Amino acid sequence: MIPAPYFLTLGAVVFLIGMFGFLTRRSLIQSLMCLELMLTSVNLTFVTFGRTVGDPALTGLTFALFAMVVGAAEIGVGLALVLVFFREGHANVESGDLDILKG
Amino acid sequence: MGSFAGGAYVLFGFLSVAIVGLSLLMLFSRNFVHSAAYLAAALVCFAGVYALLSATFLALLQVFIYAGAITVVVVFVVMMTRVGVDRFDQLLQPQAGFAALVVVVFGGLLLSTLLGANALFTHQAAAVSTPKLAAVLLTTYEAPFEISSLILLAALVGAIYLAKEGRP
Repeated sequence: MIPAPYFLTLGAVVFLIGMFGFLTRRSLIQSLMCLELMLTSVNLTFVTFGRTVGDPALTGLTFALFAMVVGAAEIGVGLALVLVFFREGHANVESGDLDILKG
Repeated sequence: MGSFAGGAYVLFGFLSVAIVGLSLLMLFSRNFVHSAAYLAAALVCFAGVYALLSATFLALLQVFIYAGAITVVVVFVVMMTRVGVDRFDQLLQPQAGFAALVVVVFGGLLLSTLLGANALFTHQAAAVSTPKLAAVLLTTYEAPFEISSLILLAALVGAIYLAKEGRP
């Protein structure tokens, strides 16, 4: 079997790519895509640690499953919010235009 | 057995290169529909990595949920809003340089910790069968399992309420 550090490194690299994208993109849609990438890479880390630890309650696998559920809920609500934002006249859906709470 | 183990390494290398390459392509494409397609391909490759970890059920779910449902929703919203930008610099926030610095520092910490702790990860448990996963999910984790269905329902209702035209 392939050792755990290979998977952990892949997860870390993809997480960093997603993090860079999330921090730098203007478009909310691309930010959300990067968020999905980060979620998936962390899931990979959970599964890898689950295999390394090997506890009978399968914590790693089940945690990854629940993270998937929450990720699906998050992307649904997030994209609905993007649609609302678009409909309120922000044609470019850029995160910099979200300034309602600005003092 | 030896040749099979080598094959697993080759497959893992191929999938890693594909995932990293597709993620970067997703990041740097000016057309958001292309971005979504690259994201979908990267997520399918992640399913392959799960299969290499012997998490077959999770690999299946990865294809169904991430590569299937989520990508479709993303493409749907991209089509309803603006599908891309003309120039590359229109993709980036003004503070992109600072963000890059943050990512480099965080990445350095993350990867150095990981490489320093390499020796800790020598143990490997046996593969988990899907029936065992189902049994654990419906006994030990029964309450979170039910609550996650509530989360999905709430998200569904919330998304419909938000996206509906002329909501109260």
